[in-house]
Amino acid sequence: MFDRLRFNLRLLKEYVKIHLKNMIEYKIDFIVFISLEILYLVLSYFFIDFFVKAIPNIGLTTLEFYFYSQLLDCIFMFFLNYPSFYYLIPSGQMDVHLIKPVNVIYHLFLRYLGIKGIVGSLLKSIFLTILGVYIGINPIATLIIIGFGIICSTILFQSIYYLTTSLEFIKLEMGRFVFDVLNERQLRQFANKFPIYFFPRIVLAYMSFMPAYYVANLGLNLIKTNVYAIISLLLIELALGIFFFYLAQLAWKHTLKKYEGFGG
Amino acid sequence: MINPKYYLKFYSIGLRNSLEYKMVVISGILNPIIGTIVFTFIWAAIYNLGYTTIGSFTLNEMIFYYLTGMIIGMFYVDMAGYFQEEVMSGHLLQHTIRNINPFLRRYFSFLGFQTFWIITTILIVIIFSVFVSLPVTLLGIILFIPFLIIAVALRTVISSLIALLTVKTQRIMSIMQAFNTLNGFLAGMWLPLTFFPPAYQSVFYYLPFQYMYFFPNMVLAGKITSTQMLIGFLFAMIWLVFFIIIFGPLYKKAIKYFEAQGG
Repeated sequence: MFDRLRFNLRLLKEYVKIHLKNMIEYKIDFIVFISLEILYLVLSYFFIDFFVKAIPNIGLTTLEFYFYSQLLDCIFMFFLNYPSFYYLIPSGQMDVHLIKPVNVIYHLFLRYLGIKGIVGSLLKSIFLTILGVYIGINPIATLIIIGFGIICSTILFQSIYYLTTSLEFIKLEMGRFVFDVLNERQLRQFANKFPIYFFPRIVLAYMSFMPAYYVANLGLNLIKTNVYAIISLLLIELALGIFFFYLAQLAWKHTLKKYEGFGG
Repeated sequence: MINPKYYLKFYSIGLRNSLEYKMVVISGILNPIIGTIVFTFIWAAIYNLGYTTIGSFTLNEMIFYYLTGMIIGMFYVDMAGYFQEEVMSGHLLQHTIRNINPFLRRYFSFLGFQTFWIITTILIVIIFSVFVSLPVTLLGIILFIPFLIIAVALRTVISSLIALLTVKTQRIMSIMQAFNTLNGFLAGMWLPLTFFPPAYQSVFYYLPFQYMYFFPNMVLAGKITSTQMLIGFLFAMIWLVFFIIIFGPLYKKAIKYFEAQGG
């Protein structure tokens, strides 16, 4: 078991090295990426400021709303910056990954690791920590909650993604279809632009198995320093993530057999 | 010389591709419906705080702004990602040998691919207008079409100009994202430009961004005067002609540079 863990960690180290080298090789792209993030931070501030000025009783000050919105960006940026795996199955590229002596999803995750997104997320967490001080949030609390938020949301998001990808083995386009119909992306974008308490109850209930729901509420409760709610949100998100992970593993094993059955 | 036959062929290939995966078609229909309903409820909750207008928009106008934006967005193509792929894989050489403009090829196949969804989205808007009275008139629709064409042409030329950088830098997605971010903000995609202070709004008249989204939207909603429309048309055309003029030599230069590198 420890040998396996050591092997996986070594793999992680090797891939991080490769991705970092790649990032340094395309310097202009990386510089533009960082400049883009700064531009996005500035424009988002103006956007929120105009929004709050037009709707003064929205329930959050400009800085609070800004913090709420950027927290969503910071956490999602960590794990969203890689291409869709669904396309690997019809194109046959998945077969190459299936024969590797390592967990396929873990390998794919490393192979397409969005290193720029991770660097951006880490830089943004520093920015949020400083911003939090201006709205009265303890900087250590901000860092800890961002850290746990990233861990829990990554597990939940990856597990849902893992589960839907496994459906692709049964019928091409089915995994992508299910993921698209979940409408995760669109709802996440709405949660980024509007405080989540404006969402209709039915949508909130539907969103309660998506990371965007937890991250948005995490931000609001962090602003209100509601520790009990923050811990509850993180625990529920983690429990859901673990549940979906095991469900995905079961589904993957089952659907992969069907896929291999007709020759891959 | 552009052969329209080629590009019509690309259009029909795109159209066929779009209907190949039935499940994707279904999700393509469902997503805008869900999005519109959620958007409507969110804004309804905001207006329920005690507003009749926000940023000079009533609730119905806000919903209409979103719906029109959705239609405009359907015509926007990602030239950067496509061109980067063509350059990196060397496929660009095939097009230059066959004298096919890769940008036109991409746009026509994209338009073919989008046709079904454009029609679907327009139908969704029409069905939605049964439930929510939307501020649209026949004159608005007639005036909207040329502004939509200008908007699409502007967006496509600018995005193609950015795409040309690929031959030098290889990776341009971040540059394209930077443009999209700036465009999202200044074109009024994030928020109608009427939310901005008047000083900002007067500057936006001189920039190309609002003509790619906000302006056609306002024309369709009938929220601008004929004088403003005329001035807007003039500025939009100046920008479009400017970008087309600089595109020609830059495209030739980029292709030469690409061929000199060995494809």
